[in-house]
Amino acid sequence: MEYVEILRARRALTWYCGVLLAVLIVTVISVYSGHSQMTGAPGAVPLSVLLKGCAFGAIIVATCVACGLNAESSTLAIAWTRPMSRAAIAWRYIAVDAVTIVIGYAFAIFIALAFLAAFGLLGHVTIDGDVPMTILNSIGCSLMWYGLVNVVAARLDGRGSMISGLSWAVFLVIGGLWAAPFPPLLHGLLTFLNYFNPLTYIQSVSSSHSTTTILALSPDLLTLIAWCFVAVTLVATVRLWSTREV
Amino acid sequence: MIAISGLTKRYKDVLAVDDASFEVPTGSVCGLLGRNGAGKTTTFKCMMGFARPQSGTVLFDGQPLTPKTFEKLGYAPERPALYGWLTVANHLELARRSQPAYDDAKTRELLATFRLDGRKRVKRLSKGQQTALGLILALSANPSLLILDEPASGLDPVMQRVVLDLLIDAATSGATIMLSSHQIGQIDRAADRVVIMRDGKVVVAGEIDALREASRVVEATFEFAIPDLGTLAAEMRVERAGKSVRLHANGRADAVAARCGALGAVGVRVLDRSLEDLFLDAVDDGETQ
Repeated sequence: MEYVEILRARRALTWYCGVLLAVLIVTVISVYSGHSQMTGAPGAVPLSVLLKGCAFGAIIVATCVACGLNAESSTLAIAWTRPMSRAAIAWRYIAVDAVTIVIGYAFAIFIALAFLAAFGLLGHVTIDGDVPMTILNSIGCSLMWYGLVNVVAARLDGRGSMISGLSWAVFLVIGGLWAAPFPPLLHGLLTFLNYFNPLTYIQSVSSSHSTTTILALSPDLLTLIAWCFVAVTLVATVRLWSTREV
Repeated sequence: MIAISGLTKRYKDVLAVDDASFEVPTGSVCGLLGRNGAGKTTTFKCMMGFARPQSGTVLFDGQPLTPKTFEKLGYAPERPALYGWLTVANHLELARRSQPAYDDAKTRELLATFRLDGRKRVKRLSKGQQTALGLILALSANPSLLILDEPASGLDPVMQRVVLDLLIDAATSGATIMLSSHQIGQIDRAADRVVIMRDGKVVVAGEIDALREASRVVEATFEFAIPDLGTLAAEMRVERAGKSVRLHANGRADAVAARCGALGAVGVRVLDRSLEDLFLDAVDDGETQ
């Protein structure tokens, strides 16, 4: 049954990779043809910072594939009449999507490294000690985003794409508003809401490189919380989706 | 065998299915009839586990519905549930991967029968072609149980005939089939049993031949006025028109005809009733005339 989700994920990845490649090619051509210039020689680029930036690639893929289960609402007569439990079908969909998100993340890293290589800057990349935690955090935050969108859309008839799109606006806005000078009560509310914001966890994971810290927690704990969100939202998604009525 | 007992499904204030009970024996073709909103589709949804009934049981070969049931159960919903962005071939590949008993040769044959192009995307297919693809998917694993909600909807008359022949073939091979349709002629041709629903209730259920036999009408014409019919008037529905009387004989047509003869009728006829007559009688709520 996950065959459909594989096709769906393949389609999303094709677009995503195509766009990233196009951006890379256009940028390289633009710089080498003299239309744009790269100014200043960069210092050392910690790989963990690069990986953190690439997490946004994984999140883009996550929001593209997050509506897979929701999209089945009009085809449940096919999906639910296979000799397989509904929960198993949902978990298979999630597994396909998780692999897709990891591929999306890896491709974003590849494009970032290719970009640096194209300009002879690959040697500036330094491997630092935050790399494993950053990878874990980036994938965790992407899956957290995926889980939050899925849990909201699990019982809806369609509209999954709309919720995926809106999630960007919601998370960017509540993350951005936190920095505004609101009264303590409102500020506290925004801090609370940001516990549910995957962007908060990406921003905060490496305190040595971030300028603001919404949640004053250690990077390990932030990553752990993000993964707890992944577990809770995915279990809830499977439960809600597999017990819905048509 | 499909056995439904005490099935009740309520949506907020609407009682969609009200204590429905009936059986479809193994190898039987059962037509589910009813006006729009009678509860047919909701009954199917409860049977397939898409809707949770408030009470009642649905058993397939004596067992409640489990994922394993779908190894032998084919289902085609009223509106084909297909992926518009996928091709016909993609759908067949999905069936092949998910159904252990997928029959590739049969599926190819059905594809040719319905003249479907495997490369075509579903959103480019006509409604009838989509219905056909839904049927192919339902039949692709040679199921021994088939649940079909208006399987010939949107098909041209030739294809409707093909579908009925397919169902008759499947039933001949021992499949148990339950189908709904608004075209009573299709049910009459394919089914040996019928269930008629009205306002969520099962109002008629049984073998079509037995129901026809039980519903035969005796029409008697008298030379002058209609005499006192005695106990007949109390035992059955009587329609009087001038010198003629029609008696709904409740399965005793021959005996009633003989009584009418004894009462001095100059002409007595026993009228067979069509399935359409049975249906119209069963769903008549006094508003249709």
